[in-house]
Amino acid sequence: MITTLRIDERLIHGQVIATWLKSLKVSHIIVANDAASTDTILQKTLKMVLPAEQKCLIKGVDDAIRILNDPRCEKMRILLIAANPADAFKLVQQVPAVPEVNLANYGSITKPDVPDKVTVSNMVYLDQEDVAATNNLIQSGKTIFTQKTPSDPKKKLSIIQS
Amino acid sequence: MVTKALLAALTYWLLLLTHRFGANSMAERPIVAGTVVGIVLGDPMTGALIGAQLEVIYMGVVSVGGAQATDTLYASAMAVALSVMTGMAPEAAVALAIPLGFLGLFILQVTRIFFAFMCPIMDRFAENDNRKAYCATYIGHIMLGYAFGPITMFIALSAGADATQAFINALPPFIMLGMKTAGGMLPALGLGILLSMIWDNKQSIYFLLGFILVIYLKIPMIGLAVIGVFLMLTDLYRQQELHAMKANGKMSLVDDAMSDEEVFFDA
Repeated sequence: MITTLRIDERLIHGQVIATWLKSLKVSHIIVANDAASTDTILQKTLKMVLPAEQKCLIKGVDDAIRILNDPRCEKMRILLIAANPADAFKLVQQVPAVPEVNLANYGSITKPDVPDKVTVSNMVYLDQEDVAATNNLIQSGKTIFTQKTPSDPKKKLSIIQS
Repeated sequence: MVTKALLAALTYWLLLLTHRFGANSMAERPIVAGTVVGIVLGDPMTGALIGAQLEVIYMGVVSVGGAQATDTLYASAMAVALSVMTGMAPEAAVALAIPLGFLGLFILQVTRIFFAFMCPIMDRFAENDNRKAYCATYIGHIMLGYAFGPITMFIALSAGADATQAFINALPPFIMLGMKTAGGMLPALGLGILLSMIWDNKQSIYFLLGFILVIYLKIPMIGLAVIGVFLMLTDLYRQQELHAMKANGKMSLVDDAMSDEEVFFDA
């Protein structure tokens, strides 16, 4: 099963490992990101912060969709990570097992110079494209929320007007 | 009072710089900071006691990137300085250290804003290939930025230690007793936070072993720590043997012929 789909532009970093792996009892991590899937240096860097035995797969979005629909995934507790709302929407559409989406950390590194971004939280900033993708996510019927770490409150998102 | 306040603030500043320049040198851990501040103020015993208590509380608190929960160094340095300078009971100083840690974190945020302001200036030096100015500004702005906390500490201790002492003397005994009790309970909370982070069903045997050693064999803390070192070393040697065997090809732990997907699905 997929425990949660986390949108995080930094994919894997300290905050995720320190808190979410434990609180969600994650057994496997899947990162769905086209850029990271071809960048071996980035992959090594991302895996560096993981515990040595942690199973982690870094794949392009389409490959990730194929793997996530494998019946063997049902026995695992997967943390699925995407880098942006558009990738997340694609995953939600094509992987029925995605239970919820946590728009956790996005917008300050990706597209840093776009003006007039919508501030969702102090970790999430969206431009027009991202707002559209996020609204698509919200309309998909899954629970879309933003939560930095397990000890932070879970803030549910509703359609963003812009 | 002023000399001691200055010494405490300077020690805090040096520890902070050691921590920042020394690549996670653990200088910010309470057990280190508390002891060092204690030595500087002439009371290493109190320093080590408060440092150890705070270490237990903060053991599970790890600062990752911007997600810092509290300033452990500020808390320990202030608690030790207050206890040594005013004669406050160590337990009460420990209870007082927790809110001081948040104050320290607030000052660190001011420091970070200052750092952000310095970035464009350093960018300009880099663009003009002005290496000397770049290096000087880089080191200088860190030393200056991390001086904000020590300055507040110096002011608080030099102006406030006498007042704090008078205030503590005027407090009814039940309040001090309450603070001491709270200070004594906080380590349990700290251990709880640590356990919630590192609990692992297989590793829990060590936790239970420690429990049994203390309850049934009444082994004191130092003896327990030494046993812990032995356990750690046996585990390390076993791991090293495993790695050596793997390197010699006698045993294959991860099959190189397997694709990353096969490894992923391999139970």
